[in-house]
Amino acid sequence: MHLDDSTLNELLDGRLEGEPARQARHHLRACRDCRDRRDQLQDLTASLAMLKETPLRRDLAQPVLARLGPKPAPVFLGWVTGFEAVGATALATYLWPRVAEAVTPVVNTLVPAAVTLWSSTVSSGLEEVGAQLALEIRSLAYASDLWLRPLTIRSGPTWPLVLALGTAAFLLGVLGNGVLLRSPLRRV
Amino acid sequence: MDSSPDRDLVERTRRGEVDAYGELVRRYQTSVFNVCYRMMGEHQEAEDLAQDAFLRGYRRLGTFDAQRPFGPWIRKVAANLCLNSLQKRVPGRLTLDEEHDDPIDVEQPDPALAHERADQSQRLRQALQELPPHYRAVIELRHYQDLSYEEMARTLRVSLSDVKSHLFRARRLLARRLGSR
Repeated sequence: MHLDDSTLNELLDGRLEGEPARQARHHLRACRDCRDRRDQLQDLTASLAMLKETPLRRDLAQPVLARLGPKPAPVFLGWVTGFEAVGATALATYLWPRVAEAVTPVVNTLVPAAVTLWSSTVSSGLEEVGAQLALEIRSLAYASDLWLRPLTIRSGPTWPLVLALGTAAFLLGVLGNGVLLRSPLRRV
Repeated sequence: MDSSPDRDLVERTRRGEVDAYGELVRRYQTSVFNVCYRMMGEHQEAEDLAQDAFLRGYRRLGTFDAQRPFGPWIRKVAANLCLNSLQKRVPGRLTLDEEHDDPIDVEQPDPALAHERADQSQRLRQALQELPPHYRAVIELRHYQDLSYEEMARTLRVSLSDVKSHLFRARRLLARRLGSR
């Protein structure tokens, strides 16, 4: 009875312990065939270990870095974008009543007139759409005014606040876009 | 040359310092390339796969435990990548460089012996290339990366019994092929 491949390999890899290892070694002392098989495996291991490292012809770092995707965005960029969005929203909300105030008379005059013109040829139902649009604009202006009323400086002129919000949004925009544009240039 | 430990370079890479990863590539490029060269047998293909291994390593750096050494991890990534590539190859296609770059041992005083060893290395590479992909992978992981059977099973995502049968058969085939040359 000879040692099977599994026992011989595991003995060689140091995985056989205790009694099974002792029995295998005992068998090897007595069995020439199994000793030959073990020697063949040991020779193979020695040959594999002899294989030297092949030198690399070129540096791989540059091509690897060139193939890397964009640099992960810095954490602060998320904050900048967030502030930018908040600034732009606040500015738009603040300005909306004033814009609506200026736009509403125009809408009230032009849209029904245009609708009347159209409805004479297309459909009278469009007239209601135009009126509804004007109503929506007015109601949005009212909601915005209600939301900002506590913040409005009643005693003084409002233009400094508008100017400050506008400048902040502009600066954040420049900063945010500057960082975003710089990022690809820094790619290796 | 940056002398920071691998762990620092990994952390710096995670913070977005791409150059730190470049230093890791420089440190391990030869060993990773040799993993690929032993498994693929072609210099250019091995270089390409070594690059791919570093790219995959970069993308998976988030899952790497920085307390462990980087070298063995990236070499395992490379071995897996080569195995995938070998499995996609057209069956029966044997690729091997016409001229191997096995260096002649300049420290060997006997030139004849040095040449004999270079020939032996070439025969061994040829025999490795004739093994099926999974057999090549287990030989690489066991004999060159010194992985235990359990680590090999985890790396290759196969059962322990598959690892054993592949390894034992691969050795038998290699021994037979080397013995018959």
